Amino acid sequence: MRATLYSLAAGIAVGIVFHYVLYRIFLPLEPFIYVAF
Amino acid sequence: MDHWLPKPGPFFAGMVLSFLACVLAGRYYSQHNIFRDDLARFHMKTSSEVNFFPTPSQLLRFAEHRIPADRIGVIVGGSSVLHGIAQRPEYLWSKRMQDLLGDRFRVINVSSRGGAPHEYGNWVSEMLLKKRRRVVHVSDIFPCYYMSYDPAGLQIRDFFWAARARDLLLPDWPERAKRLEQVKLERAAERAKEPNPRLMAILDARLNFNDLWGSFRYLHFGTFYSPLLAPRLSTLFMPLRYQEDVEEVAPPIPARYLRANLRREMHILSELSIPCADGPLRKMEEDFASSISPQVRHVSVFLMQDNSPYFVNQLSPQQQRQLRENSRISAEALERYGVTLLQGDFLDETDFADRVHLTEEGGAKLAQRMSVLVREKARQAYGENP
Repeated sequence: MRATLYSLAAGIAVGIVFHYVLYRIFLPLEPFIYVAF
Repeated sequence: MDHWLPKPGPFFAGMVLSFLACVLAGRYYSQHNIFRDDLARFHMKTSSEVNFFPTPSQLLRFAEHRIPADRIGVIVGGSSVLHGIAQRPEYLWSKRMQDLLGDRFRVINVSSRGGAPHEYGNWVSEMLLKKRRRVVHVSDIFPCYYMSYDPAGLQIRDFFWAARARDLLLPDWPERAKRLEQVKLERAAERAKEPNPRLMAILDARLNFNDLWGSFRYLHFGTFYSPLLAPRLSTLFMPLRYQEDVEEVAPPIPARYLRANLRREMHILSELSIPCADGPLRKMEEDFASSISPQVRHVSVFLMQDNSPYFVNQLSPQQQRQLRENSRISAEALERYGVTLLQGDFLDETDFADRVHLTEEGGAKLAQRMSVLVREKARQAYGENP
């Protein structure tokens, strides 16, 4: 039972991190304004 | 030593469920206004400079929240001049314009530092016009020079593609469709090296990751390192809504212009005073026509950016005449597209904080002049006397 709960919790964490990673990978590395001006 | 491995069934079930919960949470945030009621502008610490990019849904909900359906929205976009660099938020020119326009109008300022004439403000206007709301769009432009060749924008191309993926913008007109195709072909090699904004937009329209995590950063917890946010550990993780809008006012005149890089500013002014009636003017017109939709043009008032007389007076008389001429012919060209132009020649040396940005006094003068034109534009566009 405990192993099942841990597995579920690990899956939940990975799902959230994966969604957050999608947000982060499309952000620019350096703000445009510092590149252009 | 035994290594713990998760059971595949519960692990994948948890992963899928939490991912779906994030998608739904993002959808919730995309349908509700997250921004403060007293938000005067997207200042430095709530802007692209800290990698915070309001999404189309967030700005649309913000605009709908701030502008009731029976009011006329005045959407201020454009560059740092209209953003109000050197103006404290409580004395910001767009706030003064709101006071002058009265309750029939609702002004929101979504301009950005380094913003092109057709970025946030223009696209928010497109989104509202598509929903048949009444708006007047306010932006700014240089004589004979348009900041962006790309209708998708200069610094926030993701916003444009995200808005299109969610079908929030007005339909393309021939000039925009043609230019987008040209840009696509010309930048194919460059785009191969960076995340594709179109792909991001299509994914985000279904998965809502920008709406969720952008809202989370703004409302709940700072998740992103930026030197601007990090003078103290507490401000680094502070939700962006509590970050302070700190803008330094210009020092008194002698000190103000002493700190300017005179050589650089005079070089820019020399470039601006080269006759532009042929190539540059035509290019500006083409860039403008491919970026601002016919519907938005007819409800637009543009400030033609002017320069502080402190610098202009150091040009030769011939250069000064040519600078004025460039400004005049640019205004005439844009007026042919239905735009109302406000020339900046009512401003004097004390109204400028540097070569182009306005002091709080200059901002007050701008608000006074602009409010007259906004009223007139609303009367022309909506057939009433607001």
